[in-house]
Amino acid sequence: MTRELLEQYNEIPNASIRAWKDQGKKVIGFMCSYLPEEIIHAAGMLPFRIRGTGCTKMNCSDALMSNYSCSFARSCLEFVMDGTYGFLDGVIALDSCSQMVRLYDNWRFRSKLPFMHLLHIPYKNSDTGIDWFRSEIAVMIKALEKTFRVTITDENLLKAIRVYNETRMLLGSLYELRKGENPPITGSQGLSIALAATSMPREQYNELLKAFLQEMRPGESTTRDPRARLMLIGGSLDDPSFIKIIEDQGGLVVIDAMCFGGRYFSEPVDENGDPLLSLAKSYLNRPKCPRMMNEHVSLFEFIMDMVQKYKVEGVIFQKMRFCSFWGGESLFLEKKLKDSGIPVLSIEREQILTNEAQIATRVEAFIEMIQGLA
Amino acid sequence: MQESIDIVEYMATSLTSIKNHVQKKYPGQEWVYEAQRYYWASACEAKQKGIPVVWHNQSIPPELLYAMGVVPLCLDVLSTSLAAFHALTPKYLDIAHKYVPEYVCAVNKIVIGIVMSGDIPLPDAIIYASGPCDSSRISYPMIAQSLNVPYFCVDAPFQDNDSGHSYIAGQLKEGLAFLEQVTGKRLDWSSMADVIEQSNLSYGLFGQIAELRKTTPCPLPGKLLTMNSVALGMSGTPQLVDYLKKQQEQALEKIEKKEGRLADEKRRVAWIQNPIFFNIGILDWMEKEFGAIVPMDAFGWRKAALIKDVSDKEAVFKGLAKRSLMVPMTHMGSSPVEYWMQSATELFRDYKCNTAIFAGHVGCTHFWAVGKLLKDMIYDNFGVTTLVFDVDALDPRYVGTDIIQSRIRDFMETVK
Repeated sequence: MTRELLEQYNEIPNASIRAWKDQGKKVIGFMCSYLPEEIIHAAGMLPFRIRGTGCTKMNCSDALMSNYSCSFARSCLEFVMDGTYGFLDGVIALDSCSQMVRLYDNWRFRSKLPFMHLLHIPYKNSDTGIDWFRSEIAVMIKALEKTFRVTITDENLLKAIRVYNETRMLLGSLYELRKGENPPITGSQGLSIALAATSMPREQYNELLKAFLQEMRPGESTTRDPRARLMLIGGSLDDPSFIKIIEDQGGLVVIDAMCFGGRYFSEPVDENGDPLLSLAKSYLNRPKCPRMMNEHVSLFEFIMDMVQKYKVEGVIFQKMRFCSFWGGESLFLEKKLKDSGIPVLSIEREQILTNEAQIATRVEAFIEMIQGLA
Repeated sequence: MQESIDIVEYMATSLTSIKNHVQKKYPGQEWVYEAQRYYWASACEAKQKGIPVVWHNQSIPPELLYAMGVVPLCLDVLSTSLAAFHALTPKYLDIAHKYVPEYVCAVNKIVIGIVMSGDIPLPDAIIYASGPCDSSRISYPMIAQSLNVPYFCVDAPFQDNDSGHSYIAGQLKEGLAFLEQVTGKRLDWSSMADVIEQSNLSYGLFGQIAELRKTTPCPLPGKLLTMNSVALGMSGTPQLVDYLKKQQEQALEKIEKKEGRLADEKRRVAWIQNPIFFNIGILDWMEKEFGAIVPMDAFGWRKAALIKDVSDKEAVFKGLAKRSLMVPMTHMGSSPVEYWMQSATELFRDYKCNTAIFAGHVGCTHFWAVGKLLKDMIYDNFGVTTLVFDVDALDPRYVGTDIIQSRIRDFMETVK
């Protein structure tokens, strides 16, 4: 059971998706954590978050998107071009960042799917922004209904919201356990479990996660006496092996503020009232990505809150090269963290890990520095 | 250690000197620099006159600010104009690199460097929109938050339909309320109507000049297209209207005489990405060396985005919202790729371009990511091969003029 949960992320498509497709059901890819997956679930389809986990070459996407594009986007395009994403029946892009829009542009022109939709998200979280986002979600629903000849009812939406809220609660319980002195899972395992959430049918995932939580015995831990309790922040990280490099040096990632991890599940959706408005509110209210303008203070406060709750001794800020949002965030965030007395290690990375030894050396030195401070 | 300066004063002084120099050396051509001179002089004198100064980015229509009686200063115009003065940009870029990675766009890094160096008097307020690109989206809030100055963000996601225009119009109204509060100025609607009339004139002229530029041979030099970017800060002023009228007159005069900018126009070049701001003289060089003229670039102002009923407040705000999405760069940088493709298609179809150059600015990662799509479209639809090279459009230390010229020369010789 544990193994099944931990290994779901590793293969694209995995066994559960193949089984889903064998039943003649549809799978819709989506490109960002701001997409209310409940909509796709309510349409009787499986949402799958697009990622490039395991990509080992970018020959084709380098030519199409150039080396000036972020390698996360390029790895996803590589999987489009080599047929890895051939199991998808449609894709929903969001204008979360320009690279995702350009991934969508390349996808549309090079390998068209029956359903392709760009969902616009406001850059500000405000009452008018929420209303506008709600109307954009409604437009997307109409497009889905028209293409696949389905009806997304409020009743189905509410059911989907309940299923996804259960995931939020379960993942919240799992993360809660990581506050303890010797957490039951490593950071690498935590990311694997979170990645599995957007890679398989959600009811099946919830059952696996419930069983996983029940299997854990109080006080039982594989993470005895870490050298340093760390928090990981930064952009799209879909590769648990990056965290393993950190943890192989004796650090333990106890919490993160990443869109594939801790920022993904933290805001439950209100089960009362207009479901579209509830979805719009919840997704815009969740802890912020730096693409949201004027939310830099709230992102910093979220990080500081996690630092305190999880007894974090140091923050590792991983930035994908050519990600303007997280790269630019440095101006504000690194200074604020350092001013607050939090040691910060900033690491620029690419999707394909080619500098493991260098990262390991820097993490090792960082951990030693933290231990020296203790 | 370089001395601290007032960069706005520096720009005002420099443009005055350039204009005086041109007046002496090329009498009758000083109009080319007069609008810019006026722009910087106004920004420089505002404080002495007690007029509030408001910084903005290119996606904020300056009409709103002129109508309020404040002096706008478009920071994107500051960095792209300053790029021509090579003595200062390295200093500001180096300062910026202490705070942000090198792949953040130099248009924003130069401003970050200026702000961090303290070489600019602080404004009374900052207002920016969420366009045109990720670099701008991250930089403006950072700049605003690092200064103790009131600021406001106008949310302007690229949704070019009634829903998008209405949402942005609402945001602009909120921005107006913010400005009224922090500057103590009230918007007088008759001033707004006057400003919109002026901007309608300039947008109309842009449309007419764009039509004249379709003529073979092209009547106007390529570099005016780059210099027109001052409109990002001047739309709504009579000075911009005068500047454009002069361009129109010059074009009409040439066409009437059946002359072009070049005596022997050999090539019409589609310049499909950023202008090279640090040396727009490269376009003059192409004209002289190869008889190759840029009749229109993919960035150029072409559409007559007129606001017809200035008494209808809702229509005015919606019109400003459309302009916010349709200004050069935003209409291609924030939008799906079709907008850029359409813009490039017009260069070949309407402007009869027969050569294509993609001088890819390294800060424009969103253009690089679809550069191949565009290049393939141009080849498939028009049979034209595109020269592609990378450049930092504001920093000659990345790739200098000599190297750019050598790449263009090799290309021109190959495609003879």
